[in-house]
Amino acid sequence: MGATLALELTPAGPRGNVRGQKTVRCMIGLATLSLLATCPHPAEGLPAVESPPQSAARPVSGGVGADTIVSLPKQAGPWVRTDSPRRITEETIFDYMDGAGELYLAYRFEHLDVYDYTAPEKRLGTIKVELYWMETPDDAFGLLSNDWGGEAVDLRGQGDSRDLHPAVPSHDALYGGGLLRFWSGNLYGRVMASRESPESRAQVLAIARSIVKERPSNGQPPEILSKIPVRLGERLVLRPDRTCFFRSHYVLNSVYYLAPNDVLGLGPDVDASISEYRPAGTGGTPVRLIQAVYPSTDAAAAALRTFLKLYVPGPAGQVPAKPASAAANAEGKWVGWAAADRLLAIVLDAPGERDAKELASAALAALMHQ
Amino acid sequence: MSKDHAITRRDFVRGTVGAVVGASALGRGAAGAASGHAQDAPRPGRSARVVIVRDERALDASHDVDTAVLDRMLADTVMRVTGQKTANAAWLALVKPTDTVGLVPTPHMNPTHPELVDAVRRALVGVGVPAGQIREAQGGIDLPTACTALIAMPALKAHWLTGIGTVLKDYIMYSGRPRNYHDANSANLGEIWLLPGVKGKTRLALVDALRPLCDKGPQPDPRYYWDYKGLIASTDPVAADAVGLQIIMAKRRALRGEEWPLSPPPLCVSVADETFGLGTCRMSEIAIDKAGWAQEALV
Repeated sequence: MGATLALELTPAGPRGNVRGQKTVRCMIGLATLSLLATCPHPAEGLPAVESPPQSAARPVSGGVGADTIVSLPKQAGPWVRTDSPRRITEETIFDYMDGAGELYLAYRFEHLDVYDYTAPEKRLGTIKVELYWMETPDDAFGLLSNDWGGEAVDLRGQGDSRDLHPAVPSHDALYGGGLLRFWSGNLYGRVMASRESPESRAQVLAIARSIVKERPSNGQPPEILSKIPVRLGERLVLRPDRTCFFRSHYVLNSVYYLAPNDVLGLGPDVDASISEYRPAGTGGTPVRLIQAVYPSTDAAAAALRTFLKLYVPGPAGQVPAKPASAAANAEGKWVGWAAADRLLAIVLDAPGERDAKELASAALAALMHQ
Repeated sequence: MSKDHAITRRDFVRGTVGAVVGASALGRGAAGAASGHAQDAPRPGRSARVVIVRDERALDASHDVDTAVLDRMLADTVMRVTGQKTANAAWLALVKPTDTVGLVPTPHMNPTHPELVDAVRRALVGVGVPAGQIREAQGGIDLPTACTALIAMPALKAHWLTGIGTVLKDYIMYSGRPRNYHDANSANLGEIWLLPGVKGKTRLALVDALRPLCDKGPQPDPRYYWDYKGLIASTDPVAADAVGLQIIMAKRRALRGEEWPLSPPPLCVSVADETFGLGTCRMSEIAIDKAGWAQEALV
């Protein structure tokens, strides 16, 4: 019933008038959940296997539209979930996770639904399901890209459904220590067992598989990631497991600390990535590349000006009227930059001027290439 | 270091930020080469002592606390901090029975083990502090104001917005505007310790290092927890954080097998030393007293 309601009101597109739809989406989502909560659910007799529990799955809507439907089992092995989620909004996220809410707001957070699975025996611990509904798939992907560590998990059993993308790992889900993190369209999910065991691991995976089962397959990662140079000759080689998509200086600084404030003029309308390169040979320190696409030429130019003023003081940081590719020595390492139109590329910690300039130029050229 | 100076990455490379923080941000080799270790040279008359007590039996295989073991660890810790021969004498060297003692644990998301809070409460009652004068003082500024003594009891963790989220960050709620300390201003967390209701009241920084978190805090990611099975304590809150930072950094290196800088850097530690004068962050000025389980002490 809830799923039908949701499908009839699918919005026009992932970026279209999103804020204006929030109230309606929230109301329908809550109404759907209220209806679902009245349905009887079996509460026993499911084995601890990795396949989704068959008799207990129910569609749950995180908002409106097919892209927000998930099937969440009422029971997973001995763990039984609450009927209704705790709904966390941007107004209440700091009550839920003081000190961590900024991460989700940095990626255009819609809301969070939290389900708790409890078991009759305390020794089994709990399983917490957090469903972060984001404005776009790019935002959900960005959250996963914060950390590519863990064991890759194929939740759909279909292998890699998207084209290989050399700048990032092809994984949609990662497991480690009892926590499964996954990306599914505009949904970023965390399913975490408080006590890891073979049984809890099986049920964490089963719950996640159930969640993504009816959802569309993931599309490509954010487009900007297809513009990352994979190597610079034989001198610098990309590490895909260190690539992160971001929109906020909070996230940038958690990956690579640049400056305390937002010197790059980031925000929800900016697509940005940071990637890491290993110099050829051994012992070299990593080189970083930041690429960004701004909503306007003025925004990109302002970002470069601010960055250079703070980070490359003196004559080398003077930006000419028409920004061009350049480099400067910064405490023994080289900073390179290149900008055009709405696009900006910055290289940090390069071992030499040539590397800094060439990587920045190559990154800008890739951004400009359609 | 100026209170209002915007510290960029280049400041670390120049070596103008404390060595312990520089090493956290850049890795040991890069920071050492840049600063020449000048920022870690001992200063006349500056010293601190940090105690680390560990016991392999403190947690079982399910990470549950053995309270009897924890009680012994706590007694050993306070005796070593104070130099007293008995636990009771040690507690009485820290607080008086007439004190109103505020316990300040980490409240949620990697909370301080409640068993540790209970153990401290029992110990205080045991030396004559009335139970009604022992309060949980985590929260608004009125809570420490009503106390005459505070015991900071955070859990040891890395923090994705402030680098480290342990002793100095433990009082963030006293500011009444905690989110103001999640950006550039996180360097100034130490100023909260100088608020009128807080200043001079902290008798002990007691860090729950039973099961620390070395990345992605405060939101729990079990891949980055590990059973350290320790307590870290000092009367110098900055030194306690500096030592906790060493342990977190060593664990990060061990996990990745390479330098894994902490980002953002824990600027609050060096600023608490150099700007607010709350203690020392220089490892050359800190004597570490280790006891108990020695395996993978990381410092």
